[in-house]
Amino acid sequence: MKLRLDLLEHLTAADILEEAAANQHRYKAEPTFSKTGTGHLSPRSMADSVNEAVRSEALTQKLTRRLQQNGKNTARPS
Amino acid sequence: MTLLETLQFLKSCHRRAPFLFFNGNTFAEIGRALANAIFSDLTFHRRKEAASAVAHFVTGVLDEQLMIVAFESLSKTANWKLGDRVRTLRGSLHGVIVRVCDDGRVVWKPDGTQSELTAMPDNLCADEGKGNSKPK
Repeated sequence: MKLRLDLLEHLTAADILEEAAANQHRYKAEPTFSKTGTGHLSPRSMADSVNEAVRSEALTQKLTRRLQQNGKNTARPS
Repeated sequence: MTLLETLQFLKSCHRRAPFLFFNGNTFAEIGRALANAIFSDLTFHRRKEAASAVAHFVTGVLDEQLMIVAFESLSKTANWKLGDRVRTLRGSLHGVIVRVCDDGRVVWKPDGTQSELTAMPDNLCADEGKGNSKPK
């Protein structure tokens, strides 16, 4: 298996934020006055699993498109 | 910076707990997004397990060595044959392959049961904990 560092180079902070925001509803913080920083991750629902599959595929396609676009741009003579 | 160093850095951020109530939803999700990009060559179920292993490592509930073993196991593809020892991607069930269908799916029997399960070949990992044995 090849680690796709080429795709990783095209991952932006905005992409990460978008992915993280989509999964926030699963995190259940448990703030109390005496104990902070705790909580739990609720199990994936069926809808979460379906959504994750779609998002994961979309992210890969987005990064691949950027990679191809970048390749075209760099191949163009200056 | 290597992938492991990046994940160790995220774990250290999580341990420093810069946010008042909860930190997993920040640092584990960064790790998960990185894993989704870097393991794009894996099939979806394997990629999901790899991302999950990263998130659990960052939040400190999965040992580093176990995460590395998980990556190694998920990155191996196998040409399954009768009698191969297999396990589910999460390792919750272990068993042996009893039949390989013409369409590529594999029928396997979990240990301790008489039932047979059918799986796509990508959804099983080699069970290296026990030696291969032919089914009776």
